Amino acid sequence: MNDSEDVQRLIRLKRYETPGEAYFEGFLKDFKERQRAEMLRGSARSLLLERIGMWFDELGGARRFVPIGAMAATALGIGLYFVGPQREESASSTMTASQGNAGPAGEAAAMETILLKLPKPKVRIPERSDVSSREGAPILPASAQSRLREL
Amino acid sequence: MPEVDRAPSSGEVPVAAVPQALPALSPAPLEEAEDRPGRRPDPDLDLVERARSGDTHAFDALVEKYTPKLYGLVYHMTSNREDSYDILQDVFAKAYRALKRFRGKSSFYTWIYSIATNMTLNFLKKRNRRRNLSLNDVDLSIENDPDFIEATSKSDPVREANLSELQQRLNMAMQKLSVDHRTVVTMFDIQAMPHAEIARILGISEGTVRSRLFYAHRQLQAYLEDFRK
Repeated sequence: MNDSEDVQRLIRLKRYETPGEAYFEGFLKDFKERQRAEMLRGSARSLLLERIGMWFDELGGARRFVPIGAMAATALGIGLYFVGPQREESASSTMTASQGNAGPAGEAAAMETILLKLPKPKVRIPERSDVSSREGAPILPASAQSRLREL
Repeated sequence: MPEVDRAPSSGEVPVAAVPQALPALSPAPLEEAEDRPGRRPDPDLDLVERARSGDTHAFDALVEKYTPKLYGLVYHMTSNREDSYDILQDVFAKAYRALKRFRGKSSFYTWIYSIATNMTLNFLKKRNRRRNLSLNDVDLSIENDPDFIEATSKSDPVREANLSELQQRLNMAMQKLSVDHRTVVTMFDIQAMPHAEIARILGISEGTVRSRLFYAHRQLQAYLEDFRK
């Protein structure tokens, strides 16, 4: 019997290291509980991530194209980010134009907004109760005017 | 099936360089390990179909059936019973989630064995190099094993060592092997799987399996030198 066979015989003895029947019964019980808990939880996100991971694992030879695909997706995302606001602006201008051509009701509403005017405020000048507005009023009050004449 | 990148071991050699007399102790082929053309139907097919359609009891039956065998694989590779427990729970959970993608190209046994192997290899790659052993008790029926009787009759160190010491030495020797070498030793020597089945599960050639076994045995001889005097 050679040395290799001796070693193999010794290593084979490791199969006598067993945890016992009770261990396996407890294992199955724990697994059932875990399985039920997972089913109840139903974490869609983790399942999605795991399946994506598995899909990548299965890609095999095509795995080298993954970085290219990721770069393309990033570029697309950046492009959409910059194009997005411009679309919003053009959409709002189109909306204003369409409001202008919205028919008689729309026109009336627009006219009301334009023709709305506030009344002119009436300004009272002290010691000249007869003057109701600034138009045509002397710059100096009457007392000052008389003093000016005396001078 | 999840794939694990496995770099070839430093000790691998071309098939032609491996002595042909290597498989002197050919293990008995496993009943479930027949994936070659013309194989008989998968004995688990009915349970698998029922489990795929949502019958959790059918999957429980599969778990019950394969837990001892898969536990042996994981335990002998990790030499840690707590880690083995956790890994195996994850293996069955993952298998259950992936069951819908099982196409029956291989037997269910080969499929789930591959999942267990890959998850264990991934675990060992992440685990610290130094890790305490956490070993199961040795079944006392070992004293009736012909290999044990022969080892104790011809080797003084084995005879003098108690069972616990022998167990410690064997596990320490196993943990000194590279992960790839430990895997083939576990499958071939401890679990008695044929070369073809090991090759299929690991996704390597039979020649590579023999090569790894050859170098693993040579390393074990060195580690257990004093037990073979």
